[in-house]
Amino acid sequence: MKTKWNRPELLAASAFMATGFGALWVARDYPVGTVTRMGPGFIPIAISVLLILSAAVVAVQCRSLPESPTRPRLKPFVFIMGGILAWALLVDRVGFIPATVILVLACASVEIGSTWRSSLLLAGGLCATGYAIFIRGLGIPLSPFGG
Amino acid sequence: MDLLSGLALGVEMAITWEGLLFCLIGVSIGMFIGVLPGIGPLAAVAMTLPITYHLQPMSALIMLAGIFYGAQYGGSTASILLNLPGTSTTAVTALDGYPMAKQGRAGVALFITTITSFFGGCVAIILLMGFAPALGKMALSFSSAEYFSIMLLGLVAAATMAIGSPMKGIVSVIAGLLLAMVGMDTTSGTVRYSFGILELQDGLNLVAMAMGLFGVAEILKNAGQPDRPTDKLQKVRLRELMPTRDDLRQTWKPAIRGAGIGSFIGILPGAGPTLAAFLAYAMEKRVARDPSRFGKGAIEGISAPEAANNASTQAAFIPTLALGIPGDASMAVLLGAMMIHGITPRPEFFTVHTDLFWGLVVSFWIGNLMLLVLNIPLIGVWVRILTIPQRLLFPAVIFFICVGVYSVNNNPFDVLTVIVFGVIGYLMNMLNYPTAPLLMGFILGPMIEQHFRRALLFSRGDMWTFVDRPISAAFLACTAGLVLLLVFPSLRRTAGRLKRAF
Repeated sequence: MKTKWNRPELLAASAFMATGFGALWVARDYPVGTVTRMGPGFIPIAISVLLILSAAVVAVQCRSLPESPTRPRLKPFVFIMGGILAWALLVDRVGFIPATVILVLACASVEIGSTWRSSLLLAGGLCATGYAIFIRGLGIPLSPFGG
Repeated sequence: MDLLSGLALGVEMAITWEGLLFCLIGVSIGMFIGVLPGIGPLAAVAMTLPITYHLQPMSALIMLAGIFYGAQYGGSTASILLNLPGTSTTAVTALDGYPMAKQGRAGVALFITTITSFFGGCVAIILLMGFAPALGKMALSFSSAEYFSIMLLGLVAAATMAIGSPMKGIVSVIAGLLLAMVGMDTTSGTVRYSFGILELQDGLNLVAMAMGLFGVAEILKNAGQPDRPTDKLQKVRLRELMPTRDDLRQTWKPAIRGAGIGSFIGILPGAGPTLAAFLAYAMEKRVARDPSRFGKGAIEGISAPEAANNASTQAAFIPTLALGIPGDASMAVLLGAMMIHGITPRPEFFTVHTDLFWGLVVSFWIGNLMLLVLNIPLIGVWVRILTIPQRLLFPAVIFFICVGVYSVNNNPFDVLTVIVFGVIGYLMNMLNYPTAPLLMGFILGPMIEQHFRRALLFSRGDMWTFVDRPISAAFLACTAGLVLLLVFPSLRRTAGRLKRAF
């Protein structure tokens, strides 16, 4: 009987294993020390090895499991992550209010039933609330417009 | 300090205008977040964490703790009315709560869950008052070996008791430990895994990580999906809340059993309220004279799990405060918050921060009372919250995540960290890797490393030190038992499959 490798599961386990190998490779420069006096490299190396081993067990286990029925949905992912990325990159440069408007419009655009009007109203409301709580209230150093 | 003078001190600490105000804010936020499906208490705490930097430690703790137990109250509302758990801990409540609502008894179900939640909370707070200082006193004799072993138990428990594959939980915990290695090693001062990035020298930001894993990842899962079918939502009127005498008679015994199970699970490091609720439900089904009633609106099916999840949430404060070992991921975040305020929950916590401990205990009583009052007369308001459409809710949550994380260090780098962990959390959710153990590993990582190294330094490199000390050996034995119990069956299954494959 031929068992099929469950590809997403295998990829995930391999990603964890790759992380473990990567961490081992980076840790090659850290002094290991002795068991009594451990250097900064001892524990990271031990954890990396454990990660590789445990992920390998999952990789073996996940053979012939049914593939998970959830499919990634690209649009919400791209728009929401893009919105956050834009906010992070723009907030210091073009200001709190433009960055927030872009973020809210991007996030609202993936939701069913959102209109330009409702999204813009929401963005306005959030800008005002955020300005009052965070900039005025807590004094975080952001300017509403400009860097 | 004895109980009475402790309570007196607690009253003095917690019953101030500020204490009461932040208790009310905390439980209201918790309730609000709990009612809304899709956003858990972890995301709520992470979002409010930046605000607490500007508060007194006492008020900050009262508020953050209030969010946790408040969410347990709120979670059952959506479970009962919409068959959608507001928080994962109340998923079981939907099994019998929703059928009750369909029979037109939603009001009774909501009333019963509130009362049993209150009861479960009270039982666990009494335990906390009696047990935590004693445990703290005992723990004063703990050395690094004991700490290492108990943290190991906590991590293994968190990994294997999560719902799903225990092996994936273990991978997740270990990955969390590895993430904890980023930043400066406290013993040698060497900077590890910073990849030349200045911001990573202090380690990854806990708030950003929690927001990515639990806030953004959850929203990504639900974004763009149709709204909840709110047209089916029943109006709940105040006079429909009153249970019949029969209902009450069927409630009190399961509530006591549920509170017992919940308290026990809560004290165990690593096992959270979700497990407590599931166990309590299973227990009721077993002891019931007629198990076929379950799933069709049996009142025991809501009262036991609701008492259990609240008891567990409150009891989880026992290991968190006495040993500094969080009971579950939410407690881990609270622990992180306490450390940010310069409070290290340790056995010494009860002697150094007596006022904080008793203040917190008294605030639990007040908070639970507030929740009782908030819940029953205002139930209509909470039900209305369920009608907020996603197109307004989700962008608002994402916005508060961004600005909240930014305000921790006033640095957009942390917001980029949110994106990275949002992607990781989304992928892990999709492939059924539990994310809570990752956070547990991350928070306990530096402590476990420190204690491991120190224990071996004291024993001159002798690994037997962990077994020679009886308390440490007992914890290790529990850990080994858990591993054997939960990993062995799955290994055996794998071996069987391999044999068939070749």
